[in-house]
Amino acid sequence: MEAFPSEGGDQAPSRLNIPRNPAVTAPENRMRNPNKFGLMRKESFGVPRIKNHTELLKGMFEKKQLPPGMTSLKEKEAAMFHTSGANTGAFPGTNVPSMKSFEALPWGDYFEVKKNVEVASGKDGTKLSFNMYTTGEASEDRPLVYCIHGGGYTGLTWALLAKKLRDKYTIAALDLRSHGESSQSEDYSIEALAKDVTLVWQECFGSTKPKTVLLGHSLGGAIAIHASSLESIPSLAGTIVIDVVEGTAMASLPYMQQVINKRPKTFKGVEEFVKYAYSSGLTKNFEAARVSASSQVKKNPGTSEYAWITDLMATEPFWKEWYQGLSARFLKVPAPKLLLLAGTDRLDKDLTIGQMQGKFQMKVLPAGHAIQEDEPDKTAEAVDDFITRFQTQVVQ
Amino acid sequence: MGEKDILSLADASELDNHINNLMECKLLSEEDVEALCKKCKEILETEPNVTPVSCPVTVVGDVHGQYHDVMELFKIAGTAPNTNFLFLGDYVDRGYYSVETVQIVLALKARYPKRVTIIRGNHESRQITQVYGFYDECLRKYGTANVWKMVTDLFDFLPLAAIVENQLFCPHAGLSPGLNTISNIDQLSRFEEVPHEGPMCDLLWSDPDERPGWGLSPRGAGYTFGQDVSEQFTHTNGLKFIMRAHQLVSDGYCWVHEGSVVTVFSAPNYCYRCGNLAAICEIDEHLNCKFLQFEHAPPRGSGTEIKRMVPDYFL
Repeated sequence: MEAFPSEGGDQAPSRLNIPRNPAVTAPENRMRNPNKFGLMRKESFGVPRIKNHTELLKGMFEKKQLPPGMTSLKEKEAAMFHTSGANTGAFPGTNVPSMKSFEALPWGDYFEVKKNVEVASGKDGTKLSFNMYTTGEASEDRPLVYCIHGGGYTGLTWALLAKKLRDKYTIAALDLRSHGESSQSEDYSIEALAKDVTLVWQECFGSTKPKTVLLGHSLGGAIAIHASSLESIPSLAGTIVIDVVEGTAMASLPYMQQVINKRPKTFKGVEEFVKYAYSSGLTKNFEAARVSASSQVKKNPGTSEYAWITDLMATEPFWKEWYQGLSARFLKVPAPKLLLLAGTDRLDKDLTIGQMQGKFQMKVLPAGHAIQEDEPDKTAEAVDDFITRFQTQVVQ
Repeated sequence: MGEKDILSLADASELDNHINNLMECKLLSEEDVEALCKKCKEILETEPNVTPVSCPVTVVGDVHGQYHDVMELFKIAGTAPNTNFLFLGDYVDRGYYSVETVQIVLALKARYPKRVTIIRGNHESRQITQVYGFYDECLRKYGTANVWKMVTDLFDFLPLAAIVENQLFCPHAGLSPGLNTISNIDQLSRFEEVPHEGPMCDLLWSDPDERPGWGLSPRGAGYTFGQDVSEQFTHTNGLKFIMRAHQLVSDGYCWVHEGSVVTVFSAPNYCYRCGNLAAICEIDEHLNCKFLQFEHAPPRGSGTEIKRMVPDYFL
């Protein structure tokens, strides 16, 4: 009797040697030990950090000293926006901060360092430059969460999540090629994208080799799966992918051109982009929209308009290969796996079988496609639980 | 046994009525569900964590709300009281008829308490059913969450495992590093929501594995256990082998650990997409096992299936 083909157990996660009757005490043992992974965070690398941004903003409004009875246009707009949202029930109330401004938020509230990393991953070994946000110092005993964003997003899609996780983990989030502040390129093959990610890892972390958890969203999830091999990342400790499943992605692709073409091509400014990102449902989290906006659009030279930095339509010839065979590949990743989905019905046949055979962990967080933006708290909890479970157990 | 075991004639005929209706895929009313849960609670709370079962008995693995396949299964196996049943849990979620499926299982248990044994699967939990369909289905079919509340409250009373003729150990999923003997299991306090970890969780989540010893389950709960663990457990407890469900197997059943563990999975074409066979196991008076495989019932165009939604952005 043969079950479904089982994954070769050759590179299985470390085995445990649990004594015969530990379960009574096991829960206590497994309690998170905040010091275990270096909760004592290194102080900032000289980047001034604003302690309480909302307070600061409030102050900014007050300083304007509008005549009594008048509100600024921004505030009025925000109020209208808020009201219409509340009436349609379109916004999850808990996520809505006091919306006083559509202004972009600085990356420095969320990450400590922003740097350029040059690696020879271009055509014929030419150098490409990658923008990367990091927080926390990489070391052997402090796990690294290496974040890879989806198509059209940037490293700042991870900002809110990084803020939740940075006390315990080192976080690194790069901008993919032709995204954010990284080099432009016309090659969007999945091999090229995965190579970027692994070469940047080797450049930044190859000498310290911290335990690395690859965390990818959507296209970034596909890249994370392709990069999840021990040859590319010898200290790979886990792979987490957010809302990407081969069957569902393939089924959505025919509609993608339409979706992209419907987007406005230009914006009057970053603030208008923030409005667009939030009201179109690109993100359901106002703060997330504000922090990543300025990395997604830039001013067209010679005009006052802002346009998308990434031309997603140029990536169209590669869409199929991004996702083809992804489920089978995911099941073969030689590390513990967590799949975070925005809905249960997104599993395809291969992953339904894999899940029902216990090959990976799956968690459903009702949210939009960008779960890490819409539900940063719950995403952080899921990521932390996943890493903690395997870390603390492996140590035994 | 006491008088409690004998149903009053009125009770029996009411339950027969329920069973007849449910066999035609007709839901019980909210009041009837309440009464049924109360009845089942009275029966289940007297059963030990590892509830004893006599032969002959037909063992059924995960059915996951695939009501029409359960009807198919009854055609093959017969129905209670002519056939005795042991259901290994996971009655709800994933399939589109969790409500009907769990109701028929409970009605059979209430009507024939000694001939039908039901235990708890990992999906018989408040938390899991809120994610994987049962909660939403209750809302859709009754308009409120009352039925979900009553049924999930009842789930806390389900035994954690069964033992057939003191020789076959039958949990929903597997073993726990904290439980060496059947009496260890009987000492657990089970009347609560399935915890995230610990022995009770393990019985409902663990899987056998090719690798020896204990491992962390990739599922995020429970453990994997090797052949050495299975053999030690069967040896310690004087068992022939372990029969469990929980994992999808393409033929509906699958022996592992050189005959120490067998998996039975009874949801054909799981989730309406996996293309697997299902199986049930008939155990006769001499503990001989006969596995009966079956395919999924022909699809019905009742229109209650949910259309799969395609996300509007996926890059």
